[in-house]
Amino acid sequence: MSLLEVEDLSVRFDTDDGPVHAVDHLSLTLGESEVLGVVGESGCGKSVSFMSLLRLLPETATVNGTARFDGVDLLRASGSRLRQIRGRQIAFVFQEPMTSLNPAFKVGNQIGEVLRRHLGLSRADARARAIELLHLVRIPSPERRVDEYPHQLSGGMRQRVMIAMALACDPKILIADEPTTALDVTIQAGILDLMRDIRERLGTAIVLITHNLGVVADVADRVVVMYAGRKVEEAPVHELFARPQHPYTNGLLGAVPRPGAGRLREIPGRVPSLAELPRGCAFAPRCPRADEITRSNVPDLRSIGPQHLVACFHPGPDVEAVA
Amino acid sequence: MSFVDTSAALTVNPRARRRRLLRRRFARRPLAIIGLVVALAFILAAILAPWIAPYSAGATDFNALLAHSSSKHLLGTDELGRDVLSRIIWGARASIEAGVLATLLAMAVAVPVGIVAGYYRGWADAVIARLTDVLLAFPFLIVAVGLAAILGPSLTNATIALGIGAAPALIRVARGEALALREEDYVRAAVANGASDARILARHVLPNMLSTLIVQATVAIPTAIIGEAVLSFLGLGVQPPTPSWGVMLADAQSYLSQAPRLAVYPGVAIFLCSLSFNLLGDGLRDILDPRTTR
Amino acid sequence: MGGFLLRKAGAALIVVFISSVVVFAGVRALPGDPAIALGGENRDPAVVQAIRHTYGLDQPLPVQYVKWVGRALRGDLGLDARQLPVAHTIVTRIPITLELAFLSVLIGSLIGLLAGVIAAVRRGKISDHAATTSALVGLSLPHFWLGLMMIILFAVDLHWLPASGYVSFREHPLANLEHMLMPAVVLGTGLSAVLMRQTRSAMLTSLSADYVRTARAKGLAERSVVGKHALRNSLITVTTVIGLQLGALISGAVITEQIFVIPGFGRLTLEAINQRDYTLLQGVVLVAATGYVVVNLLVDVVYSLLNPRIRVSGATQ
Repeated sequence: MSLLEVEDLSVRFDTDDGPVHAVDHLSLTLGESEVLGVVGESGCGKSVSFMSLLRLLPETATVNGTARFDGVDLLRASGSRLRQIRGRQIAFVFQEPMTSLNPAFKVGNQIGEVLRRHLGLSRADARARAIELLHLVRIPSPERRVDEYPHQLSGGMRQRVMIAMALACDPKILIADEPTTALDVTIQAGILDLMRDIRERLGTAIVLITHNLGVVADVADRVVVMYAGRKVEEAPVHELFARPQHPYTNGLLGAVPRPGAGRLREIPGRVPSLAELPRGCAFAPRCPRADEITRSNVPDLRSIGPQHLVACFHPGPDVEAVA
Repeated sequence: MSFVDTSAALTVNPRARRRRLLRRRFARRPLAIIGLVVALAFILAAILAPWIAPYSAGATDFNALLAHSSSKHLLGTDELGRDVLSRIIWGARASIEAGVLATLLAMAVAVPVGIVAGYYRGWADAVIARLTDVLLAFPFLIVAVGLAAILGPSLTNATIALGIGAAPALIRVARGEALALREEDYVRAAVANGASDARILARHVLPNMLSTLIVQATVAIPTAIIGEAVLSFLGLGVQPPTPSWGVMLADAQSYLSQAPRLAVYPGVAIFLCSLSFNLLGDGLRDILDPRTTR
Repeated sequence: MGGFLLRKAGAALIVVFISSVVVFAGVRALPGDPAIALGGENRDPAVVQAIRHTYGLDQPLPVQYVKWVGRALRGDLGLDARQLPVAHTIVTRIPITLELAFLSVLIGSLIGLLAGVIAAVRRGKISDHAATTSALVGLSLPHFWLGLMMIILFAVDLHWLPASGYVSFREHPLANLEHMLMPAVVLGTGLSAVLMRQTRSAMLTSLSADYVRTARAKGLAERSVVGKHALRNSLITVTTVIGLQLGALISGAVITEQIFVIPGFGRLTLEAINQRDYTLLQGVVLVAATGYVVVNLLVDVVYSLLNPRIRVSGATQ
C-alpha cells in the first residue's frame, strides 16, 4: 500500500503568452518511509507538481488529475480538510531558507504556530516543543535561538528551522524542495545527513526534489527523472545509476562529479520554454540519439526492467559513459 | 558527442517580442486606452481653444447673466454673462501648460540629481538626501505660497512652485532606479570594460530607467494640474480675467446657493483631466512593470 | 534600534537647521522693507530707522539669524504686525489643525488600509476593481472641489451639516464634530486613496512572498495567513508612506481650512501671506517644517518597532 498515489497530474499556467503546460500527465507513488528523489533541471516542473498537490500554486494555475493520500483526493478535498493535512500530515521544506521564513516573527513563534494550529498546544507548551525541535535539527543553544528573528540566523540554520517547522507535527510525508541548493557545500552535507536521520528515527517518507543526482545517490531509495513537465525515467536508485536508460539521465549522470569517471560533461542547450515545446519528444533538440521518429512522436513510458520505466525510443546507457 | 542546440531558434528576437507583448498588453487595458484618448482630447482642446471654443474667454453677454444651459450657451453663463463652456475650453490651456511644464521642470531637475545620488553614492548621495528631505519638509503649497509672495502670483511662478514640489519624490525614484541598475551585471560588465561614466549613464542607466520615468511623469501631471487649480483658486496662480478652472471655482464660491452649477463644471473638468492621465499612468505602469514582462 | 533612531534624529536635526536657514533667507528675500511695512502709514525716515533698530534689522544677517533662532528655541517667535506674539497665535491655532489632521488620518487610514487589504486578497475580482477604481477617482478628485460639492449638497441643499465655521470641542463636542466632519472627510479622501493603493501593492508583494507560501503550507487558516503573516510585513512599508503623505496633508489642510472657514494653522499661513506679515510667516513656516520633521521621526520610531531587522540588530551572528 503506498502512502501517496499521484495519477495523471497536469498543471497548466495561463499567462499573457498563452497557456504553459508545466506538468504533463505525471504519475508516481510514494511508499511508507520511502525516500523518493525527483530529479531534473530547473523549470522541469518538479517543484510545481508537488506544490500543486497541496494546492500552493497561484490562481493562474489549473491542476488536473488525482492525488490519493490517506483516502482523500488532495486535489478535490475541501479547503478545511486540506488545511488539516497541510503541515500536519504533509509538510514542506522550501528551497529558499532566506525568504521562506517570515522576517517579522521570531522563529520560535513560527514553529509554535504549527503546533498551536494542529495540536492545540498552549503558547508556553508550543515554545517548549519548539526548543526541542530546534534541538532535534541540531541547532546549537536552541533556548536562545528560539527567540531570535530569521535575519539573525545563517542560511543553514534557517533551513534547519524550516525543517524543524516541517517536522513539528510529525508528518507522514516531508517534501523537501531543493533543501540544499541555496546553501554552502559543507552545510549541504549536514542537511542531507539530517534528512537520513529523520527517516530512520521518525519513519517519515521524504520526497527530495533536486537538480543534483549526487544528492539523490546519497539519500534516495527510488528516483524519478523529469524533463519538460514529464516523467522520462523512474527506477530504484542503484538500478538507475547502474543502468541509466534515457539519454537525459545519462547526460545528468555525466554531469555528476565521480572519482575516476573522467572529464565532466554537460548537457548542451537549454531546457526548452514550456510555452513552445517541440512537437515530438521534448528532449529531441538536445538529444544525440534523436532521429525522425523522435522528432515527430512523443514516446510513452514503458517498463524496461523490474520497477524501471523509461520514455524513450532509443533507451540504453551511453556507450561513452560505460567506457 | 553530437548534442544539437536549437534553443536559439526557439526564441524570436527579444525586442520585437517585447514590443509585440507590450502592444498586446496595452490593447487589453481598455481603461488605459480611454485615459489616453481623453488626455489627448484635453491637450487638443487646449491647443485649439481659439478655434473650437464657441466664444472668446472674456466675451460677456449681459442679456444672459447666470443663465442656465441653452442652445446658445451649452453650459450656461457666469455672473458676468461669460459662456462657461468657452471658459472651460480656454481654461484647459492653463491646466495643461502647468501640468506638463511643471512635470518637465521637475524631471529636468530630478533625473540628473537622482542619478548622481544613486550611481555615485558617497557624500553626494548624503547631501542630496538631506536636501530632498528639506524640500519634502516644505509642502508644495507652502513653497508656492512663498514663491507667489516673493515673485508675485502668476501661472509661471505657480508652475515653478509645482515643479519644485514634484521634484523630491522624483529624485527618490530616479535615485532608487540608479541604485538598482548600478548593481546590474551589464553595468558592472561595462565598468569592468573601462567604459566612461558618461557612457554608462547614457547607454545603460538612463535607457533602463526610462519606463519608470515615463510612468512617474504621467502620474505627476495630474498632481500638477490639481495643484494649479488649487493655487489659482487661492489667488496664487493664474490671475483673472485669464480663464482657469481654479479661478472659475473661486468665482463660483460666491454663488454656491444661487448657481451651484458654476462650481460643478470646472471641477468636473479638473477631475476628468487628471483622471485621464492617472488612468493612462496606471495602465503604463502595469504594462511596463518589468516584474510582469516576460 | 538605538543606532537607527539616533541616525534618524541626527538627520532630522540637520533638516530642521537647513529649513530654518531657508525660511530665514526666504523671508529676507521677500520684496519690500519690513521696517516700512511695520511703520504702517508713518514713512518718516527717523521713525523707520528707529523701528529698524528696535527689531534688530540694522544688524548683519548672520547676527539676525542667530538671534532669531536663539529666541525661537526659547519659544519666542517675535511679534506680528498687530504686535501679538507669533508663538502664542500659532499655539492657539495648532490644536484646531491637529484635530482636523487626526480625524482625517483616522478616516483615511481606516478606509485605505481596509480597502487595500481586501483589494489585494480578492485581486482581479469585482471588489478589487471597485476599490482600485475608487482609489483612482479619489486621487483624481481635486479635494477643495469635493469640499465645495459637499457644501452644496449637505449644507445648502439638505441642511444636514453647517457649511463652515468652527466650534471648540470643549465648548460643544457635538457641534465641533458636525463642523469637522466634512473637512475631515475631504482631507481624508486623498489620504485613503493613496494608502489604499500602497497597501494593495504592499499586500500583493507580501502575499506572493515565499513566507506566505510557507504559512499556507503549514495549514494555517487564510485569516491568519493574510491577517498575520502578510499584513504585518505590508504595514512596515505602508508606515513610511503615511510619513511621506504628511506634506500633502499640510497642503490639504491649508485649502480645506480656507474652504470651510476653519481658523486653524493652514488659514493662518494664508493670512500671513495675504497680509504680508513676515514675522508671522517666518514663524508659521518654521513650525510647519519642524512639525513635518518631528512627525516623520515618530513614523520612523513606529517603523523600527514594526521591523525586527531594525529593532533587533543582527550582531549575534
